[in-house]
Amino acid sequence: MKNNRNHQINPFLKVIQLHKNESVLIKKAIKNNREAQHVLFEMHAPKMLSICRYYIKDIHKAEEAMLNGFFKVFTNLKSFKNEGSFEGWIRRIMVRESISFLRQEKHIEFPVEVIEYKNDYSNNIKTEIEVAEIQQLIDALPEGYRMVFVMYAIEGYKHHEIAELLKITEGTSKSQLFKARKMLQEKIKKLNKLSYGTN
Amino acid sequence: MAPINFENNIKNKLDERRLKPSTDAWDKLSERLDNQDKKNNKKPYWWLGLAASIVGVLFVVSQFLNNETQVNEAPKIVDTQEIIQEKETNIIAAENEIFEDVKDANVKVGKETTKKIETLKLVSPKEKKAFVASVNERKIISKEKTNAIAATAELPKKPVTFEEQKIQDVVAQVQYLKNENKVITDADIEALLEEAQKEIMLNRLYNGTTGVVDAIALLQDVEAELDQSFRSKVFEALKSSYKSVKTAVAQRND
Repeated sequence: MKNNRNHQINPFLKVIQLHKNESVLIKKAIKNNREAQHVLFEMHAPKMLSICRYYIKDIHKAEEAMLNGFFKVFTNLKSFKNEGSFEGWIRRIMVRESISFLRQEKHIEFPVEVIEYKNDYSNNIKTEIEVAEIQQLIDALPEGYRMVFVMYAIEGYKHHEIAELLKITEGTSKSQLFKARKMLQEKIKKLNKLSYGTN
Repeated sequence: MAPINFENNIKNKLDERRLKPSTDAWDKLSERLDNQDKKNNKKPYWWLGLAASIVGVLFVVSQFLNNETQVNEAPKIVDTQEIIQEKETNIIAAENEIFEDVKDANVKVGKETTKKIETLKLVSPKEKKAFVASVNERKIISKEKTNAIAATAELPKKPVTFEEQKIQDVVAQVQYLKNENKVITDADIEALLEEAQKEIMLNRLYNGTTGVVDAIALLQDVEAELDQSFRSKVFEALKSSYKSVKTAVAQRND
């Protein structure tokens, strides 16, 4: 019984422990403790790479953007005031970094090539396929549509925030979202027709 | 509603996704952070060097500016002195010209006044002596007062006029005689006063620098003497009455 009780309480304690650990790690990382920085990187990098990948089709470039983002995270860690979650703070940095990366790379546009990392999606095969399909659909969108759609539908930004970050008007943001949705619907219809046809 | 459901669906699925970074990702980041730390460590020394150089430049500039101001000040003083001297000479020259004009115009008047002065000297030598004594006494008293005020209040020293200087000399001589002989006669004091008065008069009338006798001062002096004659008469009368009373009291016992 005692063991069962401990087993029931443990997940809650684990969350507190993790939070405590994270704040301790952050304090150490502020003092340029490389080990603490490494642990924080390992904790958040997979999620952040996934976010960068929403915007950047090439996984290597997405990783480059993510490393730039982490560099900024660790060099500006003093400005993190524990007001929100650490993950949310890093996430915002990653979105900004991905946008600026795309702006820099705009003049050297490479042909679209979806790279699948099978090892990364090993947890659930069904989800893996679905997520891969979703990513393919998003990647197929024009850059402007893609950025606005991801920021609005997945990241939860509002139109005025998107307009500020992308330096466009709110009207442009809304029209880009509308067109992105329409394009995605058409692509899903095609995909469904294809899957019905095959089945 | 369909797109919103679809969006929620893909949001949930993408949120769960994790992409493992490449194995050397951390090494790359660590290297960049190390380089940044080195830069940050170098920064203070660089700033110190910059600050030291700025201070050095400021010091040199301040020294240079100080020297420049000193150099600039010196010729200014010289210039002003020259201007003052030039002005003075111009004023003196102008005064001389004016004086000569006045002299020419007042030749006749001057002759008449000199005659009057001579007659006055001949007519009332005693009166004049008394007048001179009284004037000098008043001057001595006023001088003593001013000296006392100057000693107590330590006011800034004013330039001593020739008259004041003479008064001081006379007082000093009287004090000296007192100390030496202990008995000073009226005749001694009068002689000293007369001598001083003569010198003052001479100084008033005769300008040593230009070597010209001031006709206006001469006229004013004569007028002052005429004004003072009544007062001196009164003074003399009082003196004589005092003497008569004194002799009467002295002779009463006899």
